[in-house]
Amino acid sequence: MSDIHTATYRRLTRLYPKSFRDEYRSDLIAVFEQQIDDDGSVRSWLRAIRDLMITVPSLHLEARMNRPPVNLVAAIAFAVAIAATIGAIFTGGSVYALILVLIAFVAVCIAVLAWRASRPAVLFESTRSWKGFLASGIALLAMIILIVNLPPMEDGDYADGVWYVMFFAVVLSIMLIAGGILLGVAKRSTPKRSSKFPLPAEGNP
Amino acid sequence: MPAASMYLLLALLAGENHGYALMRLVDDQSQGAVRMGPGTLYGTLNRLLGDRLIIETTDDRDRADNERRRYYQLTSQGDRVARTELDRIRLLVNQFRGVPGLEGLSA
Repeated sequence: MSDIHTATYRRLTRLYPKSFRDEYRSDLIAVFEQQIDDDGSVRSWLRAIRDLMITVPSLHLEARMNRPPVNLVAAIAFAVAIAATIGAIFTGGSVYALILVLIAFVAVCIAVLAWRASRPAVLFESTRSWKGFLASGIALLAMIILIVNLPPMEDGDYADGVWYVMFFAVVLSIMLIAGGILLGVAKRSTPKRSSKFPLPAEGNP
Repeated sequence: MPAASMYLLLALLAGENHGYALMRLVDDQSQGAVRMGPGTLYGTLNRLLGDRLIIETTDDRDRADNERRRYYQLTSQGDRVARTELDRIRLLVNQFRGVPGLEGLSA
Protein backbone atom coordinates (compact mmCIF):
# COMPACT_ATOMS: atom_id res chain seq x y z
CA MET A 1 0.00 0.00 0.00
CA SER A 2 2.83 2.32 0.92
CA ASP A 3 4.32 1.64 -2.53
CA ILE A 4 1.27 3.20 -4.20
CA HIS A 5 1.70 6.36 -2.13
CA THR A 6 5.40 6.50 -2.91
CA ALA A 7 4.86 5.86 -6.63
CA THR A 8 2.21 8.60 -6.79
CA TYR A 9 4.37 11.09 -4.91
CA ARG A 10 7.35 10.15 -7.11
CA ARG A 11 5.27 11.07 -10.18
CA LEU A 12 4.22 14.34 -8.57
CA THR A 13 7.83 15.33 -7.93
CA ARG A 14 8.15 15.68 -11.72
CA LEU A 15 6.33 18.98 -11.27
CA TYR A 16 9.42 20.48 -9.65
CA PRO A 17 12.06 22.23 -11.80
CA LYS A 18 14.62 19.80 -13.23
CA SER A 19 17.58 21.24 -11.34
CA PHE A 20 15.77 20.87 -8.00
CA ARG A 21 14.49 17.41 -8.93
CA ASP A 22 17.94 16.18 -9.93
CA GLU A 23 19.37 17.30 -6.62
CA TYR A 24 16.64 16.40 -4.12
CA ARG A 25 14.20 13.91 -5.66
CA SER A 26 15.39 10.89 -3.64
CA ASP A 27 15.41 12.99 -0.44
CA LEU A 28 11.88 14.28 -1.08
CA ILE A 29 10.62 10.74 -1.56
CA ALA A 30 12.52 9.42 1.48
CA VAL A 31 11.02 12.14 3.70
CA PHE A 32 7.54 11.48 2.33
CA GLU A 33 7.90 7.73 3.02
CA GLN A 34 9.00 8.43 6.58
CA GLN A 35 6.07 10.76 7.05
CA ILE A 36 3.67 8.05 5.87
CA ASP A 37 5.20 5.65 8.41
CA ASP A 38 5.00 8.15 11.27
CA ASP A 39 1.81 10.13 10.59
CA GLY A 40 -0.23 7.87 8.33
CA SER A 41 -1.23 8.40 4.73
CA VAL A 42 -4.08 10.90 5.15
CA ARG A 43 -2.12 13.47 7.18
CA SER A 44 0.96 12.99 5.02
CA TRP A 45 -0.96 13.50 1.80
CA LEU A 46 -2.72 16.59 3.12
CA ARG A 47 0.64 18.06 4.01
CA ALA A 48 2.28 16.96 0.75
CA ILE A 49 -0.47 18.39 -1.47
CA ARG A 50 -0.41 21.74 0.32
CA ASP A 51 3.37 21.67 0.09
CA LEU A 52 3.34 20.93 -3.64
CA MET A 53 0.82 23.70 -4.31
CA ILE A 54 3.08 26.24 -2.60
CA THR A 55 6.55 25.06 -3.53
CA VAL A 56 6.14 24.01 -7.19
CA PRO A 57 5.36 27.54 -8.49
CA SER A 58 7.83 29.23 -6.15
CA LEU A 59 10.70 26.88 -7.06
CA HIS A 60 9.94 27.30 -10.77
CA LEU A 61 10.06 31.07 -10.32
CA GLU A 62 13.30 30.78 -8.38
CA ALA A 63 14.85 28.53 -11.05
CA ARG A 64 13.82 30.97 -13.78
CA MET A 65 15.23 33.96 -11.90
CA ASN A 66 18.54 32.18 -11.31
CA ARG A 67 18.95 31.40 -14.99
CA PRO A 68 21.70 33.55 -16.55
CA PRO A 69 20.03 36.32 -18.58
CA VAL A 70 20.50 36.40 -22.34
CA ASN A 71 22.16 39.73 -22.97
CA LEU A 72 20.43 41.06 -26.06
CA VAL A 73 22.63 44.16 -26.41
CA ALA A 74 25.80 42.05 -26.26
CA ALA A 75 24.42 39.56 -28.79
CA ILE A 76 23.41 42.29 -31.28
CA ALA A 77 26.71 44.15 -30.87
CA PHE A 78 28.63 40.93 -31.40
CA ALA A 79 26.62 40.15 -34.55
CA VAL A 80 27.32 43.67 -35.88
CA ALA A 81 31.02 43.16 -35.14
CA ILE A 82 31.10 39.91 -37.12
CA ALA A 83 29.18 41.43 -40.03
CA ALA A 84 31.46 44.50 -40.09
CA THR A 85 34.59 42.31 -40.00
CA ILE A 86 33.35 40.19 -42.91
CA GLY A 87 32.43 43.38 -44.77
CA ALA A 88 35.92 44.82 -44.09
CA ILE A 89 37.57 41.69 -45.49
CA PHE A 90 35.52 41.86 -48.71
CA THR A 91 36.09 45.59 -49.25
CA GLY A 92 39.79 45.22 -48.31
CA GLY A 93 42.05 48.25 -48.59
CA SER A 94 39.34 50.86 -49.21
CA VAL A 95 38.00 53.67 -47.05
CA TYR A 96 34.92 51.54 -46.41
CA ALA A 97 37.07 48.73 -45.06
CA LEU A 98 38.63 51.07 -42.54
CA ILE A 99 35.26 52.40 -41.46
CA LEU A 100 33.94 48.84 -41.12
CA VAL A 101 36.97 47.87 -39.01
CA LEU A 102 36.25 50.76 -36.69
CA ILE A 103 32.58 49.80 -36.53
CA ALA A 104 33.61 46.22 -35.70
CA PHE A 105 35.94 47.44 -32.99
CA VAL A 106 33.31 49.69 -31.40
CA ALA A 107 30.75 46.86 -31.61
CA VAL A 108 33.14 44.45 -29.86
CA CYS A 109 33.71 47.04 -27.11
CA ILE A 110 29.93 47.48 -26.68
CA ALA A 111 29.44 43.69 -26.64
CA VAL A 112 32.11 43.22 -23.97
CA LEU A 113 30.76 46.07 -21.83
CA ALA A 114 27.15 44.85 -22.14
CA TRP A 115 28.17 41.28 -21.30
CA ARG A 116 30.13 42.41 -18.28
CA ALA A 117 27.31 44.66 -17.11
CA SER A 118 25.09 41.58 -16.77
CA ARG A 119 27.60 39.81 -14.54
CA PRO A 120 27.93 40.10 -10.75
CA ALA A 121 29.39 43.30 -9.36
CA VAL A 122 32.49 41.54 -8.01
CA LEU A 123 33.78 41.20 -11.57
CA PHE A 124 33.74 44.95 -12.09
CA GLU A 125 37.01 45.66 -10.37
CA SER A 126 38.93 47.68 -12.95
CA THR A 127 42.20 45.88 -12.34
CA ARG A 128 40.62 42.63 -13.52
CA SER A 129 40.07 44.04 -17.03
CA TRP A 130 43.72 44.66 -17.83
CA LYS A 131 43.88 41.66 -20.15
CA GLY A 132 40.82 42.94 -22.00
CA PHE A 133 42.39 46.37 -22.56
CA LEU A 134 45.64 44.83 -23.69
CA ALA A 135 43.96 42.32 -26.01
CA SER A 136 41.64 44.90 -27.61
CA GLY A 137 44.54 47.32 -28.15
CA ILE A 138 46.62 44.62 -29.80
CA ALA A 139 43.61 43.44 -31.86
CA LEU A 140 42.90 46.97 -33.10
CA LEU A 141 46.54 47.50 -34.00
CA ALA A 142 46.64 44.18 -35.83
CA MET A 143 43.50 45.08 -37.81
CA ILE A 144 45.00 48.45 -38.82
CA ILE A 145 48.21 46.76 -39.99
CA LEU A 146 46.12 44.21 -41.92
CA ILE A 147 44.02 46.91 -43.61
CA VAL A 148 47.07 49.01 -44.50
CA ASN A 149 48.74 46.02 -46.09
CA LEU A 150 45.73 44.98 -48.17
CA PRO A 151 45.86 46.21 -51.76
CA PRO A 152 43.56 49.23 -52.31
CA MET A 153 40.50 48.60 -54.50
CA GLU A 154 40.96 51.89 -56.39
CA ASP A 155 44.18 53.04 -57.92
CA GLY A 156 46.28 55.47 -56.00
CA ASP A 157 46.84 56.29 -52.41
CA TYR A 158 44.37 56.69 -49.55
CA ALA A 159 42.61 60.02 -49.15
CA ASP A 160 43.71 62.40 -46.38
CA GLY A 161 40.54 61.66 -44.38
CA VAL A 162 41.44 57.97 -44.25
CA TRP A 163 44.83 58.72 -42.80
CA TYR A 164 43.26 60.85 -40.09
CA VAL A 165 40.95 58.00 -39.13
CA MET A 166 43.90 55.61 -39.27
CA PHE A 167 45.95 57.91 -37.03
CA PHE A 168 43.09 58.13 -34.55
CA ALA A 169 42.79 54.30 -34.52
CA VAL A 170 46.53 53.86 -33.94
CA VAL A 171 46.46 56.36 -31.04
CA LEU A 172 43.43 54.57 -29.59
CA SER A 173 45.14 51.18 -29.82
CA ILE A 174 48.28 52.53 -28.12
CA MET A 175 46.13 54.03 -25.36
CA LEU A 176 44.37 50.70 -24.85
CA ILE A 177 47.67 48.80 -24.68
CA ALA A 178 49.10 51.35 -22.24
CA GLY A 179 45.93 51.19 -20.13
CA GLY A 180 46.14 47.41 -20.08
CA ILE A 181 49.76 47.46 -18.94
CA LEU A 182 49.00 50.02 -16.22
CA LEU A 183 46.02 48.04 -14.91
CA GLY A 184 48.07 44.83 -15.06
CA VAL A 185 50.79 46.42 -12.94
CA ALA A 186 48.14 47.74 -10.51
CA LYS A 187 46.63 44.27 -10.23
CA ARG A 188 50.03 42.71 -9.49
CA SER A 189 50.62 45.21 -6.72
CA THR A 190 47.16 44.62 -5.13
CA PRO A 191 47.18 41.99 -2.34
CA LYS A 192 45.18 38.87 -3.28
CA ARG A 193 42.04 37.85 -1.42
CA SER A 194 41.66 34.23 -0.49
CA SER A 195 38.03 34.04 -1.61
CA LYS A 196 35.18 36.13 -2.96
CA PHE A 197 33.09 35.09 0.02
CA PRO A 198 33.95 34.52 3.68
CA LEU A 199 34.62 30.83 4.19
CA PRO A 200 32.38 29.00 6.63
CA ALA A 201 34.16 28.01 9.82
CA GLU A 202 34.59 24.29 10.37
CA GLY A 203 33.43 22.34 13.39
CA ASN A 204 30.62 24.74 14.10
CA PRO A 205 28.64 25.29 16.30
CA MET B 1 13.46 36.01 7.13
CA PRO B 2 10.75 33.44 6.23
CA ALA B 3 9.46 31.39 9.17
CA ALA B 4 10.68 28.09 7.67
CA SER B 5 14.26 29.42 7.27
CA MET B 6 14.29 30.88 10.76
CA TYR B 7 13.00 27.70 12.39
CA LEU B 8 15.49 25.53 10.46
CA LEU B 9 18.39 27.74 11.56
CA LEU B 10 17.17 27.62 15.16
CA ALA B 11 16.77 23.84 14.96
CA LEU B 12 20.37 23.56 13.74
CA LEU B 13 21.66 25.53 16.76
CA ALA B 14 21.53 22.21 18.63
CA GLY B 15 24.00 20.68 16.16
CA GLU B 16 24.07 18.92 12.79
CA ASN B 17 21.03 16.94 11.75
CA HIS B 18 19.33 15.39 8.72
CA GLY B 19 16.33 16.72 6.80
CA TYR B 20 13.54 14.64 8.30
CA ALA B 21 14.74 15.16 11.88
CA LEU B 22 14.90 18.90 11.23
CA MET B 23 11.36 18.83 9.92
CA ARG B 24 10.21 17.12 13.12
CA LEU B 25 12.16 19.54 15.27
CA VAL B 26 10.54 22.50 13.53
CA ASP B 27 7.12 20.90 14.08
CA ASP B 28 7.87 20.62 17.81
CA GLN B 29 9.60 23.96 18.28
CA SER B 30 6.87 25.88 16.50
CA GLN B 31 4.21 23.83 18.29
CA GLY B 32 2.67 22.95 14.96
CA ALA B 33 2.58 26.53 13.67
CA VAL B 34 5.13 25.73 10.92
CA ARG B 35 4.31 22.45 9.21
CA MET B 36 6.75 21.85 6.41
CA GLY B 37 6.33 19.36 3.62
CA PRO B 38 9.29 17.75 1.80
CA GLY B 39 9.36 20.47 -0.87
CA THR B 40 9.43 23.33 1.65
CA LEU B 41 12.07 21.52 3.68
CA TYR B 42 14.53 20.93 0.84
CA GLY B 43 13.66 24.17 -0.94
CA THR B 44 14.50 26.09 2.24
CA LEU B 45 17.63 24.04 2.97
CA ASN B 46 18.77 24.65 -0.61
CA ARG B 47 18.29 28.40 -0.15
CA LEU B 48 20.17 28.38 3.16
CA LEU B 49 23.01 26.47 1.45
CA GLY B 50 23.06 29.10 -1.29
CA ASP B 51 23.22 31.87 1.33
CA ARG B 52 26.07 30.00 3.04
CA LEU B 53 24.21 29.88 6.32
CA ILE B 54 24.47 26.07 6.42
CA ILE B 55 26.76 23.43 4.92
CA GLU B 56 26.15 19.81 4.05
CA THR B 57 28.15 17.49 6.30
CA THR B 58 26.93 14.11 4.99
CA ASP B 59 30.35 12.89 3.91
CA ASP B 60 32.27 14.40 6.79
CA ARG B 61 31.98 11.30 8.98
CA ASP B 62 30.77 7.68 8.96
CA ARG B 63 27.07 7.38 9.56
CA ALA B 64 25.56 4.66 11.73
CA ASP B 65 22.50 4.15 9.54
CA ASN B 66 22.79 2.48 6.17
CA GLU B 67 20.26 4.83 4.69
CA ARG B 68 21.84 7.71 2.87
CA ARG B 69 20.58 10.94 4.35
CA ARG B 70 21.86 14.45 3.91
CA TYR B 71 23.16 16.03 7.07
CA TYR B 72 23.40 19.77 7.58
CA GLN B 73 25.22 22.06 9.96
CA LEU B 74 25.29 25.80 10.61
CA THR B 75 28.21 27.82 9.30
CA SER B 76 29.68 30.48 11.57
CA GLN B 77 27.62 33.01 9.63
CA GLY B 78 24.47 30.89 10.03
CA ASP B 79 25.15 30.51 13.74
CA ARG B 80 25.48 34.28 14.05
CA VAL B 81 22.24 34.87 12.10
CA ALA B 82 20.33 32.32 14.21
CA ARG B 83 21.54 33.84 17.49
CA THR B 84 20.80 37.37 16.26
CA GLU B 85 17.29 36.26 15.31
CA LEU B 86 16.83 34.69 18.73
CA ASP B 87 18.02 37.90 20.44
CA ARG B 88 15.67 39.94 18.29
CA ILE B 89 12.69 37.81 19.30
CA ARG B 90 13.74 37.92 22.97
CA LEU B 91 14.03 41.73 22.80
CA LEU B 92 10.62 41.96 21.19
CA VAL B 93 9.04 39.86 23.93
CA ASN B 94 10.78 41.95 26.61
CA GLN B 95 9.54 45.17 25.04
CA PHE B 96 5.94 44.00 25.13
CA ARG B 97 6.06 42.36 28.54
CA GLY B 98 4.87 45.48 30.37
CA VAL B 99 2.05 46.20 27.96
CA PRO B 100 -1.37 45.87 29.65
CA GLY B 101 -3.01 42.64 28.65
CA LEU B 102 0.31 40.92 27.78
CA GLU B 103 1.60 40.36 31.33
CA GLY B 104 1.89 36.62 30.78
CA LEU B 105 4.74 36.97 28.25
CA SER B 106 8.03 35.34 29.21
CA ALA B 107 11.34 35.48 27.39
